[in-house]
Amino acid sequence: MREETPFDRPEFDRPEIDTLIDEALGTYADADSGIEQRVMARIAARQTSAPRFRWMVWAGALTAAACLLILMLLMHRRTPRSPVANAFNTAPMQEPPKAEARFEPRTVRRRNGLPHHARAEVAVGKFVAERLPKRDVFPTPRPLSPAEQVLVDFAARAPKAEREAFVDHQEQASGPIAIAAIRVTPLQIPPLEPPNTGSN
Amino acid sequence: MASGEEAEFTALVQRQSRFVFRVAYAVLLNVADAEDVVQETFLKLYRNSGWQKIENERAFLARVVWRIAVDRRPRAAESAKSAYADADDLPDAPSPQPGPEQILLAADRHTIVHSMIDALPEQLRLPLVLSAYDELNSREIGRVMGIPEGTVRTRLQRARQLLRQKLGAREEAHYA
Repeated sequence: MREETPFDRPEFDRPEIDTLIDEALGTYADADSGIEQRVMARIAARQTSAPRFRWMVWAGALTAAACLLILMLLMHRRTPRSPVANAFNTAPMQEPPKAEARFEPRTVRRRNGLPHHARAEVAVGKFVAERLPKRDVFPTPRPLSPAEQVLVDFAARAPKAEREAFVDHQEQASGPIAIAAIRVTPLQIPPLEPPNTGSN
Repeated sequence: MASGEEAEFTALVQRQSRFVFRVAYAVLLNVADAEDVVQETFLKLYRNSGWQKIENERAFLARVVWRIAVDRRPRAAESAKSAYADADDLPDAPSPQPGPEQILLAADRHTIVHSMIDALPEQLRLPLVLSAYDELNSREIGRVMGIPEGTVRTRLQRARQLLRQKLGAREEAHYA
């Protein structure tokens, strides 16, 4: 006859153990009382602490925006001319037309050729410099200098004879210089007397 | 958040905080860490208002808290638990001589079962704890843990089998 084991007793049969496991599972990891209040208290604490630091976020954003604005202004600022260049540049010069940059938008397309969704479409593009207008005369004509202005007045007012004389004079001045042939007369050197050969 | 939503959220916390705690504890096996995870879970829900759209509250919460707890679980604890990765390494039955554990067994058998559940590998422990709630079936447990439904059933059977063996051995030793 088999000896009786504890599992043969009615209180230790399998259903009893299963019941014990189920009961233990029901009380497994039972939280301490008041966990609900602690959770809500923590959420409330976070909620009240949030506005305290919200102004710091705004302050940081404003500072960043100001820095960006200053940086953009500095980048677009014109480079000042040097004082030496200003001193020599007495004649009023006509300001040459400057190339202006304009924004040329373009639509981004995927590699497979399908366009992005309308929301995802981003206005991208590049700044393209406008081309300078083509001039008929190169170099660009400048205003006359005072000496040139005097010459023009002279040509307009002086009689024809004086103008021709002036032109001849200019041609002579700019023509080749005529130099007379140089004649060098040979030197007349008398023959030397023989040395005195006296007997002493 | 409006006062109505505030009240709903408070009711959600009242309903589910203990369940969330159990899931967190089943992963971390530490009361303080588990409570931190509970608070973090509800705080996350409160911030993104995701709790208003959920259909199955417990399945959703179990998934959220399980992920947070797994992220928080220290590696040291994980390596310590890996010692129990083999189910045969569960705490053995006590010696026939009456000892403190046997006295404790007589006093509170539930506590002993709890310590045995703690000693189970996490892959067996978590399905067992989640299955203690009628609302979560094997399919939902599988979705929480990212494993097939059949695997959940196998693990549940294996966990219960191990607990039965160890409890039987303890009872036998106690009455020997």
